[in-house]
Amino acid sequence: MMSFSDFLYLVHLNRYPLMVGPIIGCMCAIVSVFVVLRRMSLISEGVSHAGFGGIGLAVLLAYFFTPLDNAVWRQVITGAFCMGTAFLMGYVSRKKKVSEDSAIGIFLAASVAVGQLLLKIRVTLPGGPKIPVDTEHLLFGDFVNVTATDTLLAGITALLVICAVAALYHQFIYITLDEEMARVNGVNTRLLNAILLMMISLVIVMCVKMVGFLMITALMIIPGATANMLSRRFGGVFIASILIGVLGTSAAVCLSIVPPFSRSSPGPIVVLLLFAIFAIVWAYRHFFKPRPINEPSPLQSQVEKEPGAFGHGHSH
Amino acid sequence: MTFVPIDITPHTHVDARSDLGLHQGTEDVICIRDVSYAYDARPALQHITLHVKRGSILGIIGPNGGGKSTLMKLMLGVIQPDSGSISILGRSPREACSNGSLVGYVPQRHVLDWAFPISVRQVVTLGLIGRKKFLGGFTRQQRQQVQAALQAVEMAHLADQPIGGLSGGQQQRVFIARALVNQPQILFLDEPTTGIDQAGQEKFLRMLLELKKTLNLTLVMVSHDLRSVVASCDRVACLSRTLHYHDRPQGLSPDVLFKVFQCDLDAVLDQHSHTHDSSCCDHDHAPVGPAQATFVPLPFAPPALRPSPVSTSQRKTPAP
Repeated sequence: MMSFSDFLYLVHLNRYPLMVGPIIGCMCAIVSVFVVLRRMSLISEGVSHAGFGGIGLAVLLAYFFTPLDNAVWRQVITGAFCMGTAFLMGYVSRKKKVSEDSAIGIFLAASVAVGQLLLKIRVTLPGGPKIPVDTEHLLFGDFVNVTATDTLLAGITALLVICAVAALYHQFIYITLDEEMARVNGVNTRLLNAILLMMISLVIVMCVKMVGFLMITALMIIPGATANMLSRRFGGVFIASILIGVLGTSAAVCLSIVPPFSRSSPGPIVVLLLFAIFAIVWAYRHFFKPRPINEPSPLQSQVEKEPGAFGHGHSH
Repeated sequence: MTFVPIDITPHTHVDARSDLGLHQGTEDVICIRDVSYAYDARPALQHITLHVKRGSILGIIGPNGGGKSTLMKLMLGVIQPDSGSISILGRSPREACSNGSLVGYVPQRHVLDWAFPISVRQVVTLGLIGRKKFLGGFTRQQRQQVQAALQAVEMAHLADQPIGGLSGGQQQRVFIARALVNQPQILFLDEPTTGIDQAGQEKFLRMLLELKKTLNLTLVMVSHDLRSVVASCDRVACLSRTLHYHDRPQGLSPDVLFKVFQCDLDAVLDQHSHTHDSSCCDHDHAPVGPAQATFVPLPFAPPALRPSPVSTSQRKTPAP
């Protein structure tokens, strides 16, 4: 049995992961609402895998330009690579010569291939990178190497994301609900889409160290998708998503510093915990509250039956 | 009942009595001058000239792929014409639409995701987004505007319901409220009666006409639903790449309808069959040959829409 002082030591030892956990949970959950409601799940998957290519590029660049061989530059280069890939996906599929999902699939595979190739090339060059690269850690996440710098970067990113969403809350809702209509009403949809893609890329880069490229998509999708089953108000979905994200990642971080989970990468624990929340909510919705999401509530059916009430059209 | 063959020169059957082709100075709220637009190499609109008078109700009808939506997008400033010019209340379409207080737009219903977690009130409030201060919320006066718009379309009692649960007609009303919340002068409606059943359509159109009267609106309606256009519009433009005809719906003759809708005609109207000779199908991409077209007297149809072999001012009957 662990004594209290042992426990405090454990907490002190893992103070950075314990701080980073809720932060990335929060920012992933915020972005997740838009990813889910705008049906950008596949895009987020593509962008997260592009991060693998970004790491490869960062590591190789760091060999030739030694000033780039530190954690901050690695994050910056990876983030830029993710954003570049995201914009390329959008650009290639814009004129509909290639469908969007095909473009995402193509760039996803290509950037993972680039990453793997560049990392292998780096191995053949003399001397290892200052920060070691472990493919398993890249794919499934790693806590041990979370540093003060990572915590600070994650905090700044979260702050940026929160500020952007708070400032452009209504604009984001509008382009999510109906992009064409928003454009007609004078909303700069191109700029907002770019900001959204940038936020997705940034968040992915910040979270990758903890949960890994393969697992990050879950963090970008599950909180939003689960919250969408819980509320029919945008604000409600938003709050539910943040709660799910923060609780899920915090619990996962706490679990992953104690045996027997401490030997595993944290990514699977985060994903499985979030998945458990999703499964419980889905089952609750499916078996105990079988009302489909679009069926009129009893109140509305009543309104429709009122004589003189307008619209006998079918609801969906 | 057999119709005599009709000979119409292509693209010239603009009713001389119609004022849609004439520019009338400040009376015009929308001026479209010789506008063409093509998707890559495929022309969608060719040489469209259209002048919409203040306070009129214009219905734009035409077959699928005839360019109705393209014309709507051009008028909304979403796309730019390849040639020609469009001005709305003396401004460019983009300028006029982004302001919101000049042009309101009610989009086609099915483009939206109805599982979206948003309340009726929030949808209407989004219409004010152009007026919102950066970083600020909406003011009390703006919230009152939202409430007034909801009351105008009789949806105030459902204001806090999620939009996904409303019926087709109710959802359409919400979108009209969103377009009206800025108190515009012109209202564009894209297929407004799609997804509303017969009984609902009549009420819907009646409400629209009332709103037009009380708010002094100019309405422009794009629709493939002939009934709703005939029932509510005082001017009609038939669009099939070129603008084929424009006048009051009473002047819409079966041959013009046939020309515009071509094969769609059977789907639009039924009963009393009559035959057309190939000579009436001089349209460049028309399937040439005898076609079966049938007509049903619409409940509110003007006489010209009822089957009649009598020619209108435009028809030329060949010499015996």
